[in-house]
Amino acid sequence: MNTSDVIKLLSARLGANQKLTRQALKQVLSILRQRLIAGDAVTLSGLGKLQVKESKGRYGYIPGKGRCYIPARQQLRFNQHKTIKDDFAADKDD
Amino acid sequence: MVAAAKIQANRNTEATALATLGFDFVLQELIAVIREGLKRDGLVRLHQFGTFRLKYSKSRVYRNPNTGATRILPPTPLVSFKPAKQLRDQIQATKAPAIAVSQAEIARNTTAPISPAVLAPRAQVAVINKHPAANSVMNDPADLPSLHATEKSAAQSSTRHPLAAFLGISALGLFAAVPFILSTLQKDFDDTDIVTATSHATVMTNSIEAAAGSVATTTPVDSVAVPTEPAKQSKPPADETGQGDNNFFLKPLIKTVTRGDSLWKLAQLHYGDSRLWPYIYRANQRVIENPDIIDTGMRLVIPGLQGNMQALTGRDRENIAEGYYLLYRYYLHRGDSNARDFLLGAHGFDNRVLEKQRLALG
Repeated sequence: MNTSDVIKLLSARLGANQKLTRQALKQVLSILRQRLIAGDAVTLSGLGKLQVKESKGRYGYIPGKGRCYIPARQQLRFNQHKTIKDDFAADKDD
Repeated sequence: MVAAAKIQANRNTEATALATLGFDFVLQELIAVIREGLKRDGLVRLHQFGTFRLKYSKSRVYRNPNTGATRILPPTPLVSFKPAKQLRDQIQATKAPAIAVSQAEIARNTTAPISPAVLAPRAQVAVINKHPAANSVMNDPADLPSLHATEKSAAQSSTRHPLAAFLGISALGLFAAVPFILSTLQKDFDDTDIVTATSHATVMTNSIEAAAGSVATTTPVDSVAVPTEPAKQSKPPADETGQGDNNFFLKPLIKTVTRGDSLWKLAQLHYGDSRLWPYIYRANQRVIENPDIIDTGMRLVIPGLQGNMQALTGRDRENIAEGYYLLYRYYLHRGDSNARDFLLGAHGFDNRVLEKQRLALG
């Protein structure tokens, strides 16, 4: 499912035309992006939590080059909501 | 101008759209749509934001160890999120990695023995961003000979000199006396060898690469050594003026030595050239008693390079040559037959180093 499909579904749910929905979606995602870049955690109720965490520097191995140093960096982590396990597991069983 | 106006107009329209529908309402419905999309396709891709993906872990058989009963655990749904490249880059750009190594730590490595506090487990590797004073410590060749002499004297007087302990001579008195004795001895010791070695070196200028190669191969691997006791600072840590050049091609690092590491390997790993291991020794000469042996848990400064390996700057070459020269003196003092190779190595990186060292020794 890509953005166009999301917009179609979303416009049906919102009761608005696709153009308006596209603009609203763009704005919502922009706000979420800004909060994440600022380092805040974003909770998507019923889906999960997005937060920026710092990973430690470590040594890695590139097959072509050999051992190399991977510096510390900021990473976006996603923790799924606990209801997902039950909801999606039930669907799978069905 | 027209484009800017258009962008502004678009922004206004988007803001109006969101105001009309309401942020909470749109977000709530968006989450519902994402859930629906995950159920339907297992994948929801949002342009310039990221991709939500639904995966299932494998089902497995669970056996109760007490009763011996088995049952099949169903596959567990796992939703993952992969941020879009644009978002990932923006997050990276906003926050630089934390500076975990202080200037004092670098100064401690160059001027005083490592302390147990330093050896305590900490973050393994950290990046130094820009420490002007620290750079000046590592890159200033002028104070190297005096620093070396002071360090030797401080080490012998403060911690390991049994004669001092026996006689009860104060550490201060020894600080003053030992450098003079050492420098006098070293001067006599080095002068003869330098003259002969220089003539030898001038003949073999073209075979420097081979000489450095032999240095690398003769370098023994590390084994376990006992860390030194804590000691007082014998020299002010760093030049506060910050005159050092900050333009590093390779930034300095602090590396905690792990099992199997050696200076040779560290140089190969960080610089891509094992011949630069004397450069690491030079930056950590106070911590490393024997360059053949580095202890696990030691925190070593891996000095930065201003140029790349193909085009080292004059200062880099000078520093590397000094590292070689320090090793030459060390091995010469130890009576090692390979000492001369280090002199050739020094000459290969910077042929003025011998003159400078001789001038410094008076």
